[in-house]
Amino acid sequence: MRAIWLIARSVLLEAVRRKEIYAIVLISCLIIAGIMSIDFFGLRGLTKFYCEVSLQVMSTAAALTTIALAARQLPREFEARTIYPLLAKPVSRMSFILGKLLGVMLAAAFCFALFMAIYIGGTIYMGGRISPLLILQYVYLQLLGLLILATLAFCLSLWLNFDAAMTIGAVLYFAASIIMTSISYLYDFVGSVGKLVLKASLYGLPQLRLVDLSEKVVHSDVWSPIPAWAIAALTCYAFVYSGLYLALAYISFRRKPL
Amino acid sequence: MPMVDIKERSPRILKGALFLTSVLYAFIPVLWGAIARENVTPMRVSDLAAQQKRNTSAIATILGEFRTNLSDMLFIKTERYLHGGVAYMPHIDTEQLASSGDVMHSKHELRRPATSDAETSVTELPNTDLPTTGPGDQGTPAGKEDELHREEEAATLIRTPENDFRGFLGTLERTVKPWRDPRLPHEHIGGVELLPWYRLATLVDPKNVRAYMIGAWWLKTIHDEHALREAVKFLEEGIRQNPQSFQLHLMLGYILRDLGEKQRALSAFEKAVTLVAKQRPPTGDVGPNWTIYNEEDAIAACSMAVLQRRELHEDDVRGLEDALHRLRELRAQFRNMPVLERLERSLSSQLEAARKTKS
Repeated sequence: MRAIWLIARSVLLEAVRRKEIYAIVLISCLIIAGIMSIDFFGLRGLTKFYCEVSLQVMSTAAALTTIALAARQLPREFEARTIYPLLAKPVSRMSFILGKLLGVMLAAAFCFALFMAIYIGGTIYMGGRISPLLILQYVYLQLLGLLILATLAFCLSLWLNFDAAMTIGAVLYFAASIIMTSISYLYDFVGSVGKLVLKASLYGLPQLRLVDLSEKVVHSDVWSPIPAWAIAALTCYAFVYSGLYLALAYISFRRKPL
Repeated sequence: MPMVDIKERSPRILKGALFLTSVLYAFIPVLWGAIARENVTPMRVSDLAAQQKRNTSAIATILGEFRTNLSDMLFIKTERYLHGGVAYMPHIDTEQLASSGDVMHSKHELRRPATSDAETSVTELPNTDLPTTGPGDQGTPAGKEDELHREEEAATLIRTPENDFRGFLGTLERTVKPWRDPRLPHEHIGGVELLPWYRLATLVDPKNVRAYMIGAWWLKTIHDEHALREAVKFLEEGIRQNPQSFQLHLMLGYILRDLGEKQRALSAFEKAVTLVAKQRPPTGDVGPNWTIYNEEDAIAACSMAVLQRRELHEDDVRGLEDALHRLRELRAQFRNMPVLERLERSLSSQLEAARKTKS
């Protein structure tokens, strides 16, 4: 356990020291500030636009940061040969991967916490409505989504190079909404084989759309927080996929010749 | 030199592929010609009917917010914001929304109950004893917050439980995403929050007349002088970019009237009438270039140009005489506008009554 924590801490410290997270947060804030600097008729209280743009920019930036951080962890250890002294110590490969994953998730959470602080501050400044429980649920579900992306990026980075792993992770993230909508839409128009393929895709791919509560946060004047059973079910859902990807990553890592 | 290398080194299959590509490339003009002969839907933003058709297509539904331009994205945003985030299959008639502010289905054309305590719609005439401006126009409210009304069923993008093959994933999606049973009455929420999207749309595409119209309409619903002044500025910008759009002049007239600027409002209505005279088919027949909304707005422009004259005079008799004089000119100018005939009857009887009262 201590080994996992030490590895995680080093990943987090490195991510914070490299100042990439700050740069990403700063760039995202500049994008949001740029859009909000447009004069929207000098009216106050038009917060839904701010909420929507901010959440979209922030979740995209956090997802891409997580994918990049996760995808580079293992290949870089091999390239820099820093993995050899690490594994020479009494650290199992599972502990190594878990430590890396925990570190990536802590960095992702740190990045997201910065975003949320800015988001909440901005919403209050603009006179918008904050539903604390809905925001908490949104953050929690986003972290579950980031967990799936991080484990997927780990898994892909052991089979492919960094660029390919990063690209596939990003494509899956951006296409998440389209995948689920198109499966649902096309289902009625295909034959039995097509239906089978669509169902297999539905369950074979993680449906990241399910862990995105941003629409309810934007329209929080209409919607209340989601029930606890849904949070529990989504937690199980995310853990199943991340567990699967982590297991695949572990198997690949074990088989990888050092 | 590199060409020689390719020729020497490439395998035969690659040469074959190159040849095939070259042949296909040579045939592109022929293919283009064949496609062009088909009845292709124009893809311009300014073609409102084409845009409406494009945005209700299957591919547009699947792509959702990943759209080719902000104008198309606005279509989705309008649908979502007005329904509190619920993703229904695109069904709101944005042309009607631009024309009168009425939130309606594109196919069902349902009207609000006549009993609703209405804020005046932009195509409604100011006096209740005067005829309405077009077929079915009840001058109903649209921006009224949290208004519930029954509409014919429009399917949601997320499936209903009875129609869902996805099991627990479907249940989760309905819980996480904004979803309402489509059989329940739609909940229409005020569209003022859409204003930044319309502002952005006009910045990206200044020819988007509909965005100017709907944006100005939502500003008008705020009932605040600052918002009305902003609406005037917004419309003046729209007119600079689209000087031939008579609807923008008409909307400007309505807003100036709300601001109490009677003379400027009359000028705007008269400008709209001038443009209508240039654009309306001689008999006012509805066609691809002249929609029912154009006709309704044309009638509204003529009616307002008449009625605004009446408001300019403190003396009711003089006001009515002036309005009737202008109305007769317009009746001579525009054929097949029965509303003007009814308006003339109404004003004539009012004038008679006013004269009697005065004497």
